[in-house]
Amino acid sequence: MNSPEIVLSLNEILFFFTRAAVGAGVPFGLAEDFGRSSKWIAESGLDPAQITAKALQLLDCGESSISASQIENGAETVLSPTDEKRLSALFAGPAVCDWISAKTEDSILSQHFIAKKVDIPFLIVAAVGASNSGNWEICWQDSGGTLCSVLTCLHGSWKTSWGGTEIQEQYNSANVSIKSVESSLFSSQKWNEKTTYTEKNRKRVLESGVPVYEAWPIIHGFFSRCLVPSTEESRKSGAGAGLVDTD
Amino acid sequence: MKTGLPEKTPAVSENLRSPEKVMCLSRMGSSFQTRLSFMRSLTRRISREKWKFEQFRFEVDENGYGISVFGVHTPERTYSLIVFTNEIAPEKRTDRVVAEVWDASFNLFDGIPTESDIKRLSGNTPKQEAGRFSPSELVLARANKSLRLFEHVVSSLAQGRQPDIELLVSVGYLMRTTAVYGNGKFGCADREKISNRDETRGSFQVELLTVYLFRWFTIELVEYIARRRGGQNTVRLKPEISKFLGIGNATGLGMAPFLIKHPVLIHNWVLARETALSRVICLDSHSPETLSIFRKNLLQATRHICEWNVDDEKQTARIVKTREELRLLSKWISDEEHLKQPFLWKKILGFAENKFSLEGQELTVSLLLEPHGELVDDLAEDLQTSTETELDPAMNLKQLRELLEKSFSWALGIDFDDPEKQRRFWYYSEEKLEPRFGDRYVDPGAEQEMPLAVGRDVFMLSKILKTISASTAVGAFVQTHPEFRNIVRRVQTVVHYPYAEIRDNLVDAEMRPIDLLRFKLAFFGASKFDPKSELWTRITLFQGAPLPEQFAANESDEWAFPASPRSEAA
Repeated sequence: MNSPEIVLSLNEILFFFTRAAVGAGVPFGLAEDFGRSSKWIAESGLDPAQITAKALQLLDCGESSISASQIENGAETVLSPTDEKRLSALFAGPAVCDWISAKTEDSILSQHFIAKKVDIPFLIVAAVGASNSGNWEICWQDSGGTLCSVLTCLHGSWKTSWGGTEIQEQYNSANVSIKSVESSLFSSQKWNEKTTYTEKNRKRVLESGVPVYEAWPIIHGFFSRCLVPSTEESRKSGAGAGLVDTD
Repeated sequence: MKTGLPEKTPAVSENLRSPEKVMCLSRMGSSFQTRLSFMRSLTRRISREKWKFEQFRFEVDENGYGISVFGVHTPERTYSLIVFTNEIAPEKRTDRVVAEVWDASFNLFDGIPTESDIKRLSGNTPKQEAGRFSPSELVLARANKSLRLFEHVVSSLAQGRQPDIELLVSVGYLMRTTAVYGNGKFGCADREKISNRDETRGSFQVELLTVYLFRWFTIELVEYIARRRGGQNTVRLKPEISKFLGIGNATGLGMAPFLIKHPVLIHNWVLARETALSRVICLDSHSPETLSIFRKNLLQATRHICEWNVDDEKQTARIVKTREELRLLSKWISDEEHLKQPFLWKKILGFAENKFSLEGQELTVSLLLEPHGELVDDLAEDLQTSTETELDPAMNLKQLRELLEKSFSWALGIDFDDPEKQRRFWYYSEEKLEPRFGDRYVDPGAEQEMPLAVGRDVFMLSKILKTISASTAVGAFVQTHPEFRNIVRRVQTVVHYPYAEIRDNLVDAEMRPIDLLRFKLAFFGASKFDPKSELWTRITLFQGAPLPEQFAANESDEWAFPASPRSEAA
């Protein structure tokens, strides 16, 4: 692998990624959720820029939207985009977390959630993981038609159904299903040998930082849209202190 | 929190001062350090745990330029201050973030650095924001010399005499920090890395340890340069003079967003102070010892305030008033009849609240806490939180409206439809991300406003809620109105923390950011606030605090209200 573009702290991930989402036109509250999801990705030892940059680009070029309607039909809740566009995971992830948060423990076991035409399904995983809200199985079909599943558990551990540690890029939108599962599933034979991300990843990241690779300029570009160009006047008066101090 | 403070305080007890009283900008801008301030808790810990200090490296030339590593050994681990000093042109010396060179640049390193670490940092630390750092570095900072004092102290010592006390009083420090970055800035360690350590769990402990070590370094530096210049004629600074030298600091707008972005933390800080005050005023009797300590501190504070002189006219008027109020308090406490009555401390607070300015009242609060370390110091031990703002999507809009009416009446009472009520806006400049305060109707960039206008956002939320069915769930509301997601989440969280919000309009045409800065700096333990405009202030840190070799003395916590050696001798 190439050298990273930059090694960031988790606090920098939160700072830059939140504002990058704002730069892509997302309201601040959803951008905060995106920042938390990006931090969760980084805590797992993955490159958050590589996984999230496309979601911002899709929003920016108008291929995805944050406009959706949610319908509850018996045990199933369905979130669908209100237009022909893909549904941005920056919207769908927090919507799923809100749905989880609003349910009681008893009711959640018999219900499930479907988010339709989601642009970057893994960002729903990141939103659920960042909310640390219990044991969930999140499934979708990848671009090649293979079923992808991710298990999250209450104490921050999670597993993927595919081998290796790569998060595959999604080229077309996918319907994502989210359902509550028993914690025993995590140690079942089906999931036994899968890659597991745990608290150890986070501790390692705190000691070494988060290497971010070639997608970093995309994130930084969106972030930079939140900055105000400096003028001679604002340079002089906007921050108070003199430009030369001879105290 | 482990201090016994409840994380959630739904209602403020009758013995605590109300949030309406405490969390308004005018009173926040009148704050003083207390014995719960972060610098005080740090020096108490240093003394209690007998931290050992060691100079690992001091390789500077006759002008003081070079590389130094000063360490401190705590019971569990060692931290090192790595300092790079170099010559800069006087016209390049500025307190602003936009500066590019500094007299000194430094890191607090987690452990003892290797040669390789120092080599790596030598290419980054002097560049400050333009450098990159690793989780081995806990803090990044820089400082400039006081041109008025640094050379004077060097030349005085080199000529065998102590520096002029009057000049020393007027400045108070040899060098002045212009930024102290922690918590992951520029690649440094995240706070999470150290938040479980006993010595760094409290708020801003590594940042203030950095400043403390740097203060020690400046005194060693000035004495070293003097020795190189004066040879055998040179004298060292008298201990009482070196103890009086603090570290200056120039603080601007960067500190303000922190207060808005961490409402639960701010609640915990204020609740600790208010709980301490309530414990003291609930005492129905006082001992001769506590009365004696109160009187001693009153005298010390009087000296301290007498030496607090600034150019700013408004602040000067406030200082003059406070001096007069201290005289009144002194007179009141000398009346034996007052001392015979129960609840002396409550009566003192009542006297101050009836007669004094806000500065006088807040100084009195600080004085009341001083004699009661055993009663209140536990509150300072663990002022932190991991609580984030959380959305409750199941709540309906009727309940949300009730929360607004209950906890945000201060915001709903402001007419934000009046353009003057939101004339100002906060933003990051593209020039080194310097935080700036703009005029919405004059300056470009209002569309990039930072989300710090809590009162206005609550006002706008309240307005739209009136148009939507009260039975609608919050989750459904924020789906159709995502622009309100952050303020709804904030409202739902902070209603449990009554001291979390600054109960004033932060974008008003008349808003003074300096009030926010003083509030936060007082919690740090700063003194000698010297406002240079409504946007920034200079202060002094650790003035009067023991130096490393002075911790053996019993009075290592008795450095509130520092006064010059001249004043103490008087």
